[in-house]
Amino acid sequence: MGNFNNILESKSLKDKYIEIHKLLEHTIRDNEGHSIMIIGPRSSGKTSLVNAALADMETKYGGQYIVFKLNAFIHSDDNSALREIAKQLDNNLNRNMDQNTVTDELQTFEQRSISDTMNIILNTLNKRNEEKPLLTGRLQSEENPEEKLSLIFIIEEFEKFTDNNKQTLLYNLFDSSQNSSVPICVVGISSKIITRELLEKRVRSRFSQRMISINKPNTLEEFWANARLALTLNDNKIEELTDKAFGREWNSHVDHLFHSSTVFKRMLYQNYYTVKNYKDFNNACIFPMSKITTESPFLQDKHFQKYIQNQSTNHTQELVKSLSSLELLLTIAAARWVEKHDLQVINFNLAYKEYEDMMKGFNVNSTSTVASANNFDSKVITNIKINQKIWSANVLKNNWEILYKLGLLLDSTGLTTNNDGHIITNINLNKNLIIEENKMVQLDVSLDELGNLIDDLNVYKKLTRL
Amino acid sequence: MLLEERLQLLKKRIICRDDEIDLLNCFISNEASILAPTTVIHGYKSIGKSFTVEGYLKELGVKHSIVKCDECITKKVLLQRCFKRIKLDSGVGSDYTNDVKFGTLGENFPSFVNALESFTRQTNYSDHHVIVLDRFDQCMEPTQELFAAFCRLQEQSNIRNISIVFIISTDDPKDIATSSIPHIYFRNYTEPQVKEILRSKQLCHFDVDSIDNNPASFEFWKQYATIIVDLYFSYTGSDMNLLINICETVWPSFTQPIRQGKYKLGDFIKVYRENSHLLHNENIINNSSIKSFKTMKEEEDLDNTNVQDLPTHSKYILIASYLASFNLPKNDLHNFSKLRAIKNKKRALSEKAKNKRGHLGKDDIDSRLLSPNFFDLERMLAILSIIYRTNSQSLNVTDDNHLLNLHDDMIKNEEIKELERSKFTLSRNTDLDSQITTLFSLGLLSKSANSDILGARVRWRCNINWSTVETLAKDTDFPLVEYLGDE
Repeated sequence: MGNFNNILESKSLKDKYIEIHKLLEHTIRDNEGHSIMIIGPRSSGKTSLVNAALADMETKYGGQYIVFKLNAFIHSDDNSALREIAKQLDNNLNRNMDQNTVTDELQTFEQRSISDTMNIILNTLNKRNEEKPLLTGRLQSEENPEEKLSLIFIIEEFEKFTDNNKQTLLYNLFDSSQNSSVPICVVGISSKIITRELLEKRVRSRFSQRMISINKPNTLEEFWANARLALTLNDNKIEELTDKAFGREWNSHVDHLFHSSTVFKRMLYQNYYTVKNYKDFNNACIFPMSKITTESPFLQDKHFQKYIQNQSTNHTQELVKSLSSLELLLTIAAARWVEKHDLQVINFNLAYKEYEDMMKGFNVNSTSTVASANNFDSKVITNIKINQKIWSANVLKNNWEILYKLGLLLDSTGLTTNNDGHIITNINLNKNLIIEENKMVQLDVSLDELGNLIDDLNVYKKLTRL
Repeated sequence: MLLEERLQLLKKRIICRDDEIDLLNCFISNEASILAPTTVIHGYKSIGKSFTVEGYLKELGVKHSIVKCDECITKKVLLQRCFKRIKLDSGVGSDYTNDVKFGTLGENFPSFVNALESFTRQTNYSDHHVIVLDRFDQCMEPTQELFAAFCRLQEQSNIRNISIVFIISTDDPKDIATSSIPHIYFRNYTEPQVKEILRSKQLCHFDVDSIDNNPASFEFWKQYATIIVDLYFSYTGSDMNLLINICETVWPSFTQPIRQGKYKLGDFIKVYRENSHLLHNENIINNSSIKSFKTMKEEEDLDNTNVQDLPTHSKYILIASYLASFNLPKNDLHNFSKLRAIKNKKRALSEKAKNKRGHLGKDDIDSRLLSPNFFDLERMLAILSIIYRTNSQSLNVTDDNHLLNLHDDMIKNEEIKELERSKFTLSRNTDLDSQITTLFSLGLLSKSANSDILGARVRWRCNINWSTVETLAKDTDFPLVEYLGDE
């Protein structure tokens, strides 16, 4: 999301930054058209690199270019992306202009109909010098009419724009980056490694094939060197502080944490060996950070545990833990039935029947095992029968519904694949509807898994063995 | 951020949630510059997520808007509601006029961002504002895309003062699973914690001032809450809403003796003994403890009342449809004909097959527990005409003991049978079609597609379960089991 502040100090990303920087500079200063793709896992600093480069451009060449930021998560289709481009064009060009001229609808890029908007933008982008439509004149910068405004498109979640079958937007952008006299730079940012292959042939041929890929760190030292940047102050910041000694002491304290401490180090190791995600690391550091007071001005080792401990490790595991004992019994019964019959689907009637049988067996067994286990107290205990209540079907039907709503039961037709082999999930399809007692559903957990998830002290654990 | 003393006060008010409040305190603060743009609150069932967040935000004194997403039918409504709440709760929205040129508000996410941007621009609104999207996953339309879009709100716009808190009770959608948003996971309460929480506040009152003002009434509530948790914890788990609901349902009738002056507040055990039948009644959690209007007493649990007053023909139609739904068409000949030979052959075969396989298979499932199959109307009518013969006296005698019947009037009997068989049929004046449509509109029959009832390709199925059809069969003295395939 572009919130790594000290990213330029990272050694591993330095050369990548220089490459992006150079490219943008060529577009703005030398009026060249470019396209580039930045590919890397999430929270590896893709957007931050671009933002840092743009910030530097702003100080050097402010006012000579316009940046368009698109994000497929927000602009989910070409139309809304196009509108966004038009809107940003309008906003940028009208900043210096008189408000009165804006009211005329013909003067803006954004039009009521999407095809008009498209036409105007395309005309602008593809104009040759001989023809001069109404709006293109305004693309010349105000002070120096000879110099052209450069356009920089930053497209995040780039691969989502390849979903629609014509890839119109990408085609036009790449095409104009090569042919237009207006200097255009297209920067695609994506976390999918196959993004280039998703482009259509005619689109791909217009792309410059320039790729920057950012990888996850290979060694723990590299990971720590980058992660450390989020916790430490850089030299400029220290200079700004009134108490410079504290700034240095802070940095050395952070290093000290890495070299000595147990909790902090364990957290770092765990992150490195599981996800290698800097942002997760930062999240875990926020709590200790918030505990800094004037009395204890440094990060305290014990606080690093809190966030990690709070996280839920596994969806199904936590789900099973949060079930009431009746719901758990019903789940076990359903899992037993699935195991016995080797079928994938089950309905409430079958689960309830299995529950009844299971509980009858459980009541018989529990009294007999208790009696045989303790010889000393056998006289006392054989007289006490601990019978588990067998609840009625009406009650358990509520529990079945709860299990369905929690997502432990899935619609049996929930997973389908389309022509291209993409998996379509409509697991949430019926989440708000009532589940019928003979509706077939799939159970998201198997009997073995249940056995592992249930605590050893739980009396129902033995039910997970057939 | 709250200071330590106020945190302690808050933790006293919201008990058993210390860690979660600590974490809330580090992610959500009243300074826009140091807060996390998005936070996800995650936890299954109603275990005080919204309550804790709301309590914390109030204590913090930050401007916030709570949007209940499960009340929103579409995404559009959700976005519109978000915008309106922000406008309202900001306190500066009164003189704002919409100046977004194209598209209606909330049509899609960009238009929502547009409107929000224009709002902050016009009003210069820069106070820190928290939007709480409560039950975000329970909006009627799938909201995975919105989730990702909301996460990118700050990044893609120049709004910096609005942060978002999602409250969800399912797993993260796949789109944002890797984007490392700060999560705060709410664990479920343990049984002692549930008791402690429920006992801490008296939720129900006697509505009689002299009793309510008595300090003993709180003691009474504590004992009452303990009993309720003891009895129903295995059903509810840590779902506080369910428990509170049960408490409120049982309370009026449970405390009746006290209100009438029969017992004093101290006599909890006596009250409990007198009313124990109330607490052990499963109707409380069945949602079916409905009071009858005339007597104001709870209705008895009546099963299958809705089929008892049907006309006899309808009952037969229902039974026939049940048989058609639960028997395979290929077995019709041996189920509904009198030819013994086929029957025995079939049975012998299935026994053999059973011995071959070691474990349970598809065929061992009692088909009564499965969903009914669709059938053609003609097949059901044919079955109906067969089973309707059981209504006739002479035809009803089975051939099983024909050796015993080997006496003189046998031939005569056969003649009578023959005669009756030729004559006996469904009463010709019964309007079958209208009865079927009536059953359909009662919901006892259903059809395959949303097509016309009279359409030729419509297939039907029965909508009643085994216990209902069993009572029907008893009503009409119909030997249902004999006709079911797998008996």
